[in-house]
Amino acid sequence: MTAVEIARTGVTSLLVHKVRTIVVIATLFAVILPYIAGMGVSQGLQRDATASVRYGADLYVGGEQFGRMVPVPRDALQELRSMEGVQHVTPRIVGTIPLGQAGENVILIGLPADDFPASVSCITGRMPRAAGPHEFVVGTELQKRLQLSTGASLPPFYRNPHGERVSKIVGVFKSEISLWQSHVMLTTLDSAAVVFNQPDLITDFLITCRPGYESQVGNAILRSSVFGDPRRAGVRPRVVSRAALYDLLPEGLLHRDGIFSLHFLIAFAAGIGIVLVTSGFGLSERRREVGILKATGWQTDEILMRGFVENLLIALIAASAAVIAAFVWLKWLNGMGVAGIFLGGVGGVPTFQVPFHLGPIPALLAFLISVVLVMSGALYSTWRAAVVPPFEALR
Amino acid sequence: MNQEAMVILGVVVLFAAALGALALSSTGEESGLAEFQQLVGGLGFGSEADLSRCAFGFDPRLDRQCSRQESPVPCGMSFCPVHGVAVFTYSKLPETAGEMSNGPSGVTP
Repeated sequence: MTAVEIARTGVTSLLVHKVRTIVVIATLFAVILPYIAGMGVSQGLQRDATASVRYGADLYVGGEQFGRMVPVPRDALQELRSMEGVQHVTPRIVGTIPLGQAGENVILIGLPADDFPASVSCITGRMPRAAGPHEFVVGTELQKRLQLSTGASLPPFYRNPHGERVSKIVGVFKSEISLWQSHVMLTTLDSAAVVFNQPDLITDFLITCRPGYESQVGNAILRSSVFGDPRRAGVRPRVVSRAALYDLLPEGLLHRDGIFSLHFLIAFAAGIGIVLVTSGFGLSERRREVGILKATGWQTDEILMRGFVENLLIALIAASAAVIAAFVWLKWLNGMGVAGIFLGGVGGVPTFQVPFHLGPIPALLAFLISVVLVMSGALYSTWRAAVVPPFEALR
Repeated sequence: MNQEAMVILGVVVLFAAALGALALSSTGEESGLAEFQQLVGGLGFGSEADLSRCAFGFDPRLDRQCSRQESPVPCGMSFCPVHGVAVFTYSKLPETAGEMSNGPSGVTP
């Protein structure tokens, strides 16, 4: 009997034990699908995080007191600009403020209006302008929850002793660009300063350096008293470099916590059930079948190969189906129901394109887990039945 | 065509479809994302979409470490509602008390 002929009998075995085949494939599918979907979202996030670092500034300069981040004086701008190696400095305000009757948490970002490009393709509408009422571009989650659309007016939602003004929505971020736009309200630096009632403070300075000057500029800032003398209750500078942010990324790929630790536990728990189904529950039936095969002249290694092909096909079907289902779930159903588990601050139906990337390594890993789970049960029980004399196996 | 051949054909088609899904998921439009990040100066890093719950989980540039992390407690990170279910985790940023080096991290403690 050739190897191909033995392998064909493995396929036949799949069809003979239909219920067992379906149960094992379904169980493996249920174990693998959340794993592949979660890894897909994780890798998609990593891709977007890489873009966030790549297209961001070289250095982020903020302030620290008591080990916590604090705002820094806006008038440090000129001193930072005059440092050797500094190409461009952008002051930025990033803060949170509740908005609407339900108190939706908004990430309010203020940047100098002069730094805004004339037109951008990532928003529907236009960029905020410095003159006139406060103008905002809002994220998709805020648009949905607060029923905001381009041209809508916002009654005063902040407190300022110099008076409050009606604000205007001039644009909405497009849903496909990023997860992080969903709660953002983008406006000019001056408008953000009025909303937070902090005319002289900002959150951080974004610094672009001349090539090769990043470390030199960073060290100069750390040594300086740009935010006031630290010995006299000043604010200590805090510098985050692009390189430091890149350093966080590889660890994210290899080190997964939380839901993944939990999922692995569930996977192993379910895996025990699979092993029971494939070995224990089907043992008497398998013993009879193996006994007949042995009585008709089959060798032990041929019977093991038959079982190997059968279970390899089961693992391949389950892993392939899980990859396809994960793709459909994340791409066409946009992670409906599952995005809120993997991503924080997101509802059941996301208002943005869920970031995901299905890599070959998680898919291969899922296939290997399937193979190990199925083989460990089936091959052992097959081998036990195959090494005994046929009359004993048939008894 | 007999049943065995149909099963093999079905498995091959399923496997090819899975490979196609892997290939399709790696193609994506990044221009909008790049433009957004250039516009806001780099914003967002973690799996959190809402800054008010955990600034570090949203972006480590805005907070060097998770404020709810119970560090000496085993699995203390899990006390944070964001990190407890995080699908994408990262360590805290290093201190910037010392000099920035030219090494890979750009910062030495």
